[in-house]
Amino acid sequence: MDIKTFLVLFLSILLSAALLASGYLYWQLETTPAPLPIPEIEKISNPTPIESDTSIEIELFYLTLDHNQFVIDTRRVLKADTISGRIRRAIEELLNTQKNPVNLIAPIPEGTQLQSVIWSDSDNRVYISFSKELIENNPGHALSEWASIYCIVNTVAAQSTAVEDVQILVDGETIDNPSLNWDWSRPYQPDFTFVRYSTAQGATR
Amino acid sequence: MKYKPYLTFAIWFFPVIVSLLNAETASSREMLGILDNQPIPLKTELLQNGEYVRAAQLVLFFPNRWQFDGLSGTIIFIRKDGIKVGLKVGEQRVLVGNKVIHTGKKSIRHQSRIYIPFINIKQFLLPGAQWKEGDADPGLVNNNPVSEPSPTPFPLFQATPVVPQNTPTPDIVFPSFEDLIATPTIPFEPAPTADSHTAPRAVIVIDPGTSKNAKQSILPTSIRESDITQKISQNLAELILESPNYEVLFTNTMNDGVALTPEQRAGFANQSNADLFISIQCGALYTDAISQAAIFFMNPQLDSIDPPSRESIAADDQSSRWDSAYQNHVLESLRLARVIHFQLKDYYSYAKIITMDSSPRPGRLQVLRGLTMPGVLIELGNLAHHDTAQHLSRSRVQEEIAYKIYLAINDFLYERTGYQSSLSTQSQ
Repeated sequence: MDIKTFLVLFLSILLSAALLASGYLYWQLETTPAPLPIPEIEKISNPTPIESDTSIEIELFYLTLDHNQFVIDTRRVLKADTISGRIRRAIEELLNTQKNPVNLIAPIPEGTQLQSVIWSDSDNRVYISFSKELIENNPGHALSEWASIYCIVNTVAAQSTAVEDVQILVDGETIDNPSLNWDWSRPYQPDFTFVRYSTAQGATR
Repeated sequence: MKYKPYLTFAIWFFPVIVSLLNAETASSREMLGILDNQPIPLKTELLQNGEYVRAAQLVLFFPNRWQFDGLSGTIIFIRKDGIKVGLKVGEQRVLVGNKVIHTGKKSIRHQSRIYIPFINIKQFLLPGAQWKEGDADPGLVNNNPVSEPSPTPFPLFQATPVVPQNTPTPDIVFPSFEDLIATPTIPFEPAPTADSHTAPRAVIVIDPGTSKNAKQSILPTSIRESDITQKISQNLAELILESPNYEVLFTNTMNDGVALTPEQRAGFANQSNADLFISIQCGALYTDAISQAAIFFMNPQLDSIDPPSRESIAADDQSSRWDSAYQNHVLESLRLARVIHFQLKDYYSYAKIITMDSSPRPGRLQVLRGLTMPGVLIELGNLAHHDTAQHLSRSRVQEEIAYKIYLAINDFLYERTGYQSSLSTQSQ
């Protein structure tokens, strides 16, 4: 191969490389960025529309699959006259696993039943009692317990600004179980630190 | 066919130069946004596989409504509607109002300048703006983009003056050395000196986690939690006992077939005058799709709500002190949690089966409440996750995890007594 042929070949390769590089950069610039990974919760949240005058909008806190954050799902349910009635509606929605949004978890153990909701006006506290499955079927990781506690507490507190803290009970009794990691025996205040808001929610809050 | 070398070179090299110039222009573009009839011309640049805007360009459109912390790379803008938007270099999260939103795109530092993802600007900084591509009208560019005064003065940091028309966009400047030394700082206090011939002495209590008769120890993968936590605890104890200055104690998880309560385990550590309390756990999550490890420490803020039996505590002053004993060691517990987190994250990122939580979590945990020493609870992973269960069952993995925890404990104890640990420098 003489020097001229070599030069021609070399420059051809250089030209091709430059064209490829510029094409790649242009393609990168034109590519639409991926949308925010916010699960589609609207599609299945409200399969049957409820008339607005007989319904209220409630916020439910679901857990992301990686157990790192909560995501709010907004639904319309039948109107309730009292705070405890509204809380009951919200928790019942949460316990209905068939309505779980895609890619989100309702971190309440399987088989758990809601027993009673009592709103204490004097200390702005909600006492909420579940069946024993809440504790017995808990998977045992400290993160699972964290998720269960704050899913319930945040959902309850979201139903009324008057709610200051929430006492979780089992069969009407304070939870005092040595096999649990977290201390469930005292009330919890809502904690929105680990809540992921969508763009629209973030802008309005 | 005859070649004239110079002519051939010119013919071939000319398009090369042209294409390179095209590549340069393709890596940036002019965008024009319209917000409330005000033009917002921005030049975007293609950096690190994304479209970015130099932060200094945005400063023009937020006169007196931005602040910048050069040391941490944090920029805060206040939008026209009064909502504060905060961004930080290397951070995917954006603070909008008082909410944190994960965007998936990081702000970056490039050639000593801060760049913000264009998508974040569109969505959070200038959400109502209509954007179109193309060279901005020079007449529009020269208009003062935002003429009204700032709705909320923001005096914490240096406020930018309104940039005069036709002035080149200023770069965000880092604080000068004179500014930095003029800032009052906490007076330097030398670390406590210690005799270099003696290593720190410590009693370390290891709490191997769930006892075998507890319901949670029967997991979907049929691998028992206690088998893993016991072995890791044994390995950890062997490593710790290699140093003659350390002593290890195990909490008795069983007593005549009855599982001890968390309070009894903490009480055992207190009675032993221990220096550290490490609870090693390995439970299951609600899903078997992922595996997450986490470290918890007691947080008094979560514990501030009144206890259920106020009368009994008032009557028994002893139990009141017991409940708040851990509060004297919150900061040390956090520090211990951080060093263990650092070491385990390092190991887990190598193995790539278990994900480490982003940082240690505050919690209200039964076994840590009554401690009179720094204490943490380590959740090693999700045993409902098949790969994790298999992984943590391997003796080599158990040894490596124990070694990482040992390194962290060693670092913590040396740092606490003012030593520089040789192991920490090795591990880093």
